[in-house]
Amino acid sequence: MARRAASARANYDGVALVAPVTVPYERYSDKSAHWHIGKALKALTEKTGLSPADFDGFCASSFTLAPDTAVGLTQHFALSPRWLDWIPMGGASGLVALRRAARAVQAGDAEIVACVAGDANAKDSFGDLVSAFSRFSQDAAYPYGAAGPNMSFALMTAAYMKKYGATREDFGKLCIAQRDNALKFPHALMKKPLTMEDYLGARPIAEPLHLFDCVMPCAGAEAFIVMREETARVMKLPFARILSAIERHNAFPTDNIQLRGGWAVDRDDLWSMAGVRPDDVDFLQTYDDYPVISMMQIEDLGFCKKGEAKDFVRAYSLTVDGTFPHNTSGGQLSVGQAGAAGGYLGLVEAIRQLTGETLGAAVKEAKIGVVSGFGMINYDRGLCSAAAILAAGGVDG
Amino acid sequence: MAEMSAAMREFSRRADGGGFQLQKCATCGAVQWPPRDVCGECWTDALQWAAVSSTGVVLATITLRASMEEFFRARLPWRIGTIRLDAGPIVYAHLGGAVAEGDAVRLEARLDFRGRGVFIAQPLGGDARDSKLTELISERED
Repeated sequence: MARRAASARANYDGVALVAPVTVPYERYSDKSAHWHIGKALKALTEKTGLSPADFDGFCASSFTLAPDTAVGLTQHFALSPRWLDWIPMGGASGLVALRRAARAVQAGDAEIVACVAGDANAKDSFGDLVSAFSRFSQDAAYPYGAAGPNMSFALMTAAYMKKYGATREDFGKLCIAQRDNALKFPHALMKKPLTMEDYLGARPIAEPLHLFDCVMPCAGAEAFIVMREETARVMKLPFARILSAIERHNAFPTDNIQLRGGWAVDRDDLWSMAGVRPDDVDFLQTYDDYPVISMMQIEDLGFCKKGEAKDFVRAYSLTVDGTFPHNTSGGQLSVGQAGAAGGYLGLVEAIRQLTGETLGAAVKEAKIGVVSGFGMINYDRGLCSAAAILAAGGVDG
Repeated sequence: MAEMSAAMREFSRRADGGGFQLQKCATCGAVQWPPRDVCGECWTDALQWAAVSSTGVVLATITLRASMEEFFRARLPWRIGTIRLDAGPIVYAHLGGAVAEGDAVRLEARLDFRGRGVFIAQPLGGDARDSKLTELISERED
């Protein structure tokens, strides 16, 4: 495949993404975030044959690790990394981890980086997390009905439906397709098919949001490893490559209500750096704590025009065995949202699809995948957006 | 009292008794919300509490049918909205009466049942506070 003219951004050549692992999700768990992250690290060693001492880079994300951060985890897990990062960016954590770890490996600051996100979810703990999520949220959002992210996403959904004419059926189509994908994914917490009747008839949570529009918090962890492509080849580990990646924070700060995210600022770089077009993409993993934000990602990443995601979801099946596979493991809406691991779920699933390691349904001959992330409703909008275009290791870039 | 920043505590103190004061930057004039320690526009720390216009326009409204706090759970459904103040900032507000999207409204700042300063959006020239909103600002949990 011919690369287009050089972008101002340096490429990610020579970097490999390997060992996609998921610690099975549980609706509630008495186990700590430390336990979940430890289980994920153990799974990385089992999958690769690496030992703890082989990791000279470590990057972690979690909402429930307090008072610890990544640095405390080094002692918990007897790691002595020469490169360490802590990424408190929620739904953008996985992609930001990928971007930073890839640069560290390219620069020789680290050889083998474990990237991990994990969270606990004890009964009745979610309210504590939400009430003190950020200073702005605590001061000026939570007091208005104590509904957490449901409030911001309901307002966003109401404004989006009004402006672009998307209907509940459009959101339902997306949720139902994801459930279909999830039925084949062993770790999905939602195990029953979802019909349009079920979707439309579900109880209201924060109108216009109803039950199946809202992600279900749970416990779990996700992880992957970033290393040099050369190392992956020597170790005979299947790998995915990074064709391009972007991140943006607090995009469009003067918009009244968030109807677009930072992807719209940086998508030209994303596509030109990768040297591929939306038509070349075999699957898309969006960040889907609520369906409206997946619709915005489909638009802002350039798969269709602004406001036309409703037509897009009507035109494709969005299932793994159909057209335009989207959230191929079921996404968070059907698998569950394990805190910051929700920001890894789509990325880890994308690596699985591109390395032939799927646990559920596999996209046929998947060569190019797009992953996007969205995180941190700090007050009235999500601040972090990120995306990457990935390719199967064998693709000639 | 609920956990809040020092700046928010000051807003709440001023809201107690019905004042409508937000921080205004003495350098660039920008009105701030949520409360800050440094101006969000020009980054000077010359923020002063000032009476500013309390009118605005409703951008969107929703109806909550679930809540993580008992006070609201006992009074569902509960309507809230996003309002663009004529003074600049975007605020969340509890909605009085039939206040709807697109309406011009007047905001009141009051102390809620946990001692937090909150906004209530009222129709221009009217008071549409129902019994639930009255309880919101008259009850005290602690």
